[in-house]
Amino acid sequence: MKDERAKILENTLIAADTYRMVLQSSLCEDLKAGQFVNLLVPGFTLRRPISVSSFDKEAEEYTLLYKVLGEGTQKMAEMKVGDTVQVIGPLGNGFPIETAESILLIGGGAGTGPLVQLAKELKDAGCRKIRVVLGFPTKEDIYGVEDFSALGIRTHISTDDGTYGFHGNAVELIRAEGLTAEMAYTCGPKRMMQAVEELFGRGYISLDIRMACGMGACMGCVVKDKADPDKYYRVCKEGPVFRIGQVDY
Amino acid sequence: MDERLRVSLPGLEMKNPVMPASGCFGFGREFAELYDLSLLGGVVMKAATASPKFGNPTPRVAETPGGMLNAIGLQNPGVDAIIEREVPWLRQFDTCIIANVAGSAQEDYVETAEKIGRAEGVDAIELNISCPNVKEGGIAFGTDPKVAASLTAAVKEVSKVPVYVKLSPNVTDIVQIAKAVEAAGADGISMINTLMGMRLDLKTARPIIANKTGGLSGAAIKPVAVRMIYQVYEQVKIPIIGMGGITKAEDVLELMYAGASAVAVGTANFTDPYACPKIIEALPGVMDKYRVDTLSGIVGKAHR
Repeated sequence: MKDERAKILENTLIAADTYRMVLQSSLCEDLKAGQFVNLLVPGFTLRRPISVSSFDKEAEEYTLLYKVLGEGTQKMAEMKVGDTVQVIGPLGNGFPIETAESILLIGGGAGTGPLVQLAKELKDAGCRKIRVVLGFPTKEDIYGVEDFSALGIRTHISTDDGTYGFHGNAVELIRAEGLTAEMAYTCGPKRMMQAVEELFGRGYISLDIRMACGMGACMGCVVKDKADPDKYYRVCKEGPVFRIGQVDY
Repeated sequence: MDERLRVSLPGLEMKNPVMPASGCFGFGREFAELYDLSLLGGVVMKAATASPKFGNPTPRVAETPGGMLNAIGLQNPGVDAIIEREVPWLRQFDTCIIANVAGSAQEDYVETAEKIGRAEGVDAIELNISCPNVKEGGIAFGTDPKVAASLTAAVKEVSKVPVYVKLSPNVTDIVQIAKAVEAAGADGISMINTLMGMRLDLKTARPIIANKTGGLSGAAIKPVAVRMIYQVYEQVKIPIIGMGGITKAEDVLELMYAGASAVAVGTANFTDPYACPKIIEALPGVMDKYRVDTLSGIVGKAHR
């Protein structure tokens, strides 16, 4: 974990209210797929915890795909290329890279980001059958498809209003198209991940929750173990990635 | 070490007056990955209760202009685990250790204070009678002068170390509570805890925090802290540990002018995990700028 200034190499609109920010700093060398950084937006008390979407360790560059949801992320969107931003990271545990015959990656809206690096690493680990399912509210919200196609991975898209791809949500798409896999990784809205947990016995979820410190000190972001009510996890420290069936959220 | 920063309070001989506030620093382990905790004047540990406590449902935090709301609900592993695991770990650092003690009944407070006051390395107790986020206890002990005094006396009777009573700003007259705990034997006062607040989600029209209300902290509450420390300093003789919205070295001077003998930094640790060492490092320069010779010499300067 480091707290350092990162250089902004890119900060562009890639879909409705959705931006790609590319940062360069030394914390990149320790990054794992599924980890996050906590970004300081000047003028705000709390930092913005954002998942790292992909990284290039040689160039010390890492990419954040983020959605403008409030005043803080709006200020992030206004940050200029060439400026620097204060970031703490890497934070959280990241995705375990497991081997399986077939793997399904399921992203909902802003949850698509962290799946990009994961797909790359699963492919490098030798998994031949990786498929991606992404659900968005409408056509203008779609992003990330080219990141997966660059890896030679096919993406199935759903939109809630049917303006693009399958008409419905990501889980309905999986059912309708009869997509099966040995295991799944998912990141997105709570209800979507809960439905994914019902469909797949094996795999991982990545939680998005309001945080304060982002480094395990404040107990702001805890979740309980599903089996043992006296056991809890800090999403920022022992998470954000948990086994399917592990936590109550 | 800069002798000009040294302060002395009952049980606490501090190399500087700056310590992280209870609840904003855990037990220091995460911050120790970033800097040497021996730089700090002291560490106020996360609240200890007689039994382990999970706390409130999530969301537990929300940002506000110049601050944040929290309703953690005193999550902690319980006093026995803290004595066994956290206090010995913290002892490796050259810094004062203050144990924050909370409870839902007088017996809980007394049991916890007695145990943790005997733990090797604990220099003082901060008696938390002001947590706004638990249904039982907490603030209920801090809003009635008689109840606050009776609890203070009971804890003083069993505590091996000095007791600082942490007061709530969510009262009509904080001076009455301060005088009552002083009369009951408190060695010092710690103030202020968070101000009770609420935020609503514009999409759902419901409170963002699951507990509905939360404690407001951060830069936004500093003027309230300054005002209350000023008022209490005028009426009590025991020293005050001041907290509420400190983000920079200038704020330390302001709270000490108002009447604080030492200070705690809370929410600023979330904005910048290096907040405490940065404030300590900046203090000599800021003291020079305002012609302050020693920090111990400016306590209550606003009243002179």
